[in-house]
Amino acid sequence: METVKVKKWSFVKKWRWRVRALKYMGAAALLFPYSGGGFTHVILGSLYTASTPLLAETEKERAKAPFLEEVFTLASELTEPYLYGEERCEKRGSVERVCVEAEKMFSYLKELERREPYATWLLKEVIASYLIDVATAFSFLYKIERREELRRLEEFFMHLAFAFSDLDEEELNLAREAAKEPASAK
Amino acid sequence: MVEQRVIKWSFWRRWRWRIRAVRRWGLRGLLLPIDVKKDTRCVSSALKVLFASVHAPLTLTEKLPYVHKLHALALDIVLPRLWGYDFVPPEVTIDEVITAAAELLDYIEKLKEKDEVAAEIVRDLAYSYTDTVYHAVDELANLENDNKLAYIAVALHYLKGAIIRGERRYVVRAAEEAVNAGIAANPEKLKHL
Repeated sequence: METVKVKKWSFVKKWRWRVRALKYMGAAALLFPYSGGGFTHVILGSLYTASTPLLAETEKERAKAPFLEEVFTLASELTEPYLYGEERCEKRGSVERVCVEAEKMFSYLKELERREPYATWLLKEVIASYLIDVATAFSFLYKIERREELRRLEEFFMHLAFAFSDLDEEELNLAREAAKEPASAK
Repeated sequence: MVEQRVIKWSFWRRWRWRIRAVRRWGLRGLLLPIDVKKDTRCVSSALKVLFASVHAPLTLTEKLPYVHKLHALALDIVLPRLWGYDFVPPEVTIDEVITAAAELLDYIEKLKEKDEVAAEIVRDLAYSYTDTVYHAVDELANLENDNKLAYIAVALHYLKGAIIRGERRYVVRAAEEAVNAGIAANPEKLKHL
């Protein structure tokens, strides 16, 4: 495998880019490029992913995969306040709804696996990868806020991720159990 | 559809959260919540699109060659601006992305015959990620006033059309644009698509 050399930007190049970006994005441009390296990227990256739909931006198109729509609705409602400093009054997402759609998606993938293994492999992995990002976002938030419900959400999404990555019924049951915990987000 | 109200965090709430985050993450905690009074959504969505473009579902990039190539392109273009690093040499050319898009269309067509729902989801995933990378590249092309980036964005725009409509002629159009704009590494090969 070919080795990729990485060339670090100079102080001047970094600041030239920031000044350009300032005109375009305002003060937020000062966040980039990071001098802090990968750590911040991981934190922000998982929060951003959690609040970004995996499929298309429009609700109509997302409705093709209701499970992903439910995960996105819940995850974005709970993580967006920390990104934007704003929160929605009407909550539309809930762990219960995610569970209901997860079960439908799970059965669909089980059935698809017999007919089309490659497509199943693609779908289950991509779903698991998104769920892991969502779980990671809650893990970061829990570390800051120390609220029990955030830890449970992390656990819930992590079990779901494992359930989908291996199509493992037992992990799906564990996710169901985590969803039943009293402090889970309603 | 439920009408949603949005409550903005107060100055104090925002700073209380930041102080907690600073204790946990050090000065990086100051980055969140992003606090720009004008166009918060717009600025955040610009940042969001940059992040999302380098944060593709990794497993999909391993298994779907088109997304793998597109992700490599996003890393080559967007990551340096996020981290301040350039990759030398860049991992992928626009030619490879366009060729992989043509193969993806063939795969989706075959899958459609076996399972239409799965084909739709794969199509949506590929489209959605292409859209994300397109926005990130377009954002950077405007920011840097860079023609090469602008042409890459145009090629990606055609690929979006090709994927969502399932029409190969848009892939050919993307290839033509890349050749005409001089961003193709191997124009002869693209002409045979």
